Amino acid sequence: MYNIAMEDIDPDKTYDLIVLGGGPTAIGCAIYAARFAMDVLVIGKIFGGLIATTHLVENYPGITSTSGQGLMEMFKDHMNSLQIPYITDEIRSIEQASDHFILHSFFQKFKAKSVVIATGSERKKLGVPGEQDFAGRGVSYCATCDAPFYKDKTVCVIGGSDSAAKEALFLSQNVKKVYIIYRGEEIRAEPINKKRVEQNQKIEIIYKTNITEIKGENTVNSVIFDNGTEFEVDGVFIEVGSVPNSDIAKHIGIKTNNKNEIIINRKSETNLPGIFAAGDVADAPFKQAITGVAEGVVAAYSAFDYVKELNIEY
Amino acid sequence: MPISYIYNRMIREEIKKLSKPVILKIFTTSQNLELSVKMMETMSIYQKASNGLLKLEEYKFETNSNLVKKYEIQQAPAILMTNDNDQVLIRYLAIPTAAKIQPFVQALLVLTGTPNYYKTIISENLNNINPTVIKVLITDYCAYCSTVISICSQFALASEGKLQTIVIDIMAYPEISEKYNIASVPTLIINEDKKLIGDVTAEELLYELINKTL
Repeated sequence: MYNIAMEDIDPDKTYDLIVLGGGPTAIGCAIYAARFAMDVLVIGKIFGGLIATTHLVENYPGITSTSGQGLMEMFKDHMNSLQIPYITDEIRSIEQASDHFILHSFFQKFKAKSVVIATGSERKKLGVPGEQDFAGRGVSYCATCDAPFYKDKTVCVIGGSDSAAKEALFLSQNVKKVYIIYRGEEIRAEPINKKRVEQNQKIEIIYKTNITEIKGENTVNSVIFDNGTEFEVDGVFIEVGSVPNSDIAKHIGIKTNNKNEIIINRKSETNLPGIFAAGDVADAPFKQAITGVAEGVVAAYSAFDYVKELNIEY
Repeated sequence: MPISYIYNRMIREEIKKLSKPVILKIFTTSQNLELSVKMMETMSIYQKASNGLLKLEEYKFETNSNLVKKYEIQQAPAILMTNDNDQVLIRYLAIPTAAKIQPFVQALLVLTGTPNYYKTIISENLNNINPTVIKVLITDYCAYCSTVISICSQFALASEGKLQTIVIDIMAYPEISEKYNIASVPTLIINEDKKLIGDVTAEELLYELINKTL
């Protein structure tokens, strides 16, 4: 479900709601909006979002275990059953007109009475020399994508989060050895994943260590620790958090916090009437697929209320 | 539930969207027999679920040298999507399963007349685009590959024969992965010259094709 037939998209039409994003938050929002009989369109850069790069999802209630892509296949099935249109594109700016918004991508212009920004986040870069030079040549941000290239090799995962632990566990199925390199004293994974890491003989954790450089020739062959040690690895998987994709909000005057997260209230409203936000791009303290979906659903309801009021006025 | 069952179900559901007839040429080879057999088995699922709209023409690499030469078949098995002028627009050196199902079916839909999202922008820039071969190197489980295949395929379909997209499963063709020193997917190889890695957007690809910077 990517670009749908153009006859289903009318560039002159004003949608009730356009949802920006391709992950579970955006799709969950759109499903509810469709069920509220709203004329909804979803525009996402990459279908599936960040969760599609996760190899294991075990904490989505109702689903014991699946992959990130597996979860998004279920979302897609649900979206298809409601014939919700989805476009692969990226909205670059939102412009406020009298009673609607105009959304601009590089390729098209769209109009909507309300907008939900569910653009998620993207992986944070480490910001060390060599990281950019070796992107795709030993530096990776997606274990599910690139693990097969490191069969029988030694890799490191930079980071100490639950995501880093899960990346290490996935990589251990493919590679010879995984080192988790973390600046803290203890990794912050969910207890269940922390235990799995500790019991996995292929995984070793190096604590209280930062990487200051990534080195190699054609591909990566080592990293430099902050104590000066040069450590041989064939691949570096970076999992040091993410940054919200909130630039589009800032350009139209939507308030963000000091972490660039869009500030929302319990109705997923932003400071701009008619624009809502949900998921990883917003300022929740604990971000998971399920919490994002919940915010997206609330955003759909709030948008439905908002559009209903607009329609009454006219 | 076996993963193949899920993918077969997806194939059947997606190909039902086809509303006009289309012919695909498939080149198989005894030198890559296992892959060729798997490809024909998968394409048979597509064909059976297409209500007779999808027709497959299978050609053996070894006994169709004229066609092999005409269509520049260097590796087999391969699936060719051609336009009305018999130009190859999209070539699959990959079995269209897993992440490739949707962009594959989407390409068939556009090939048979469904409007192309990028048609206008490609048409406007056609004079600035040189004949280009875009190789899309992917694996089955890569999260972003589906979107990138979709973009490259639609660009080719909109290009009046100037662009050709070749989708290559590097697990099936590891020699190609080695040739280009691939360590990450998706990777695009543009005219054997430029490499673009990761979730390349349509905008980035367009600027690459018209030799401009964003």
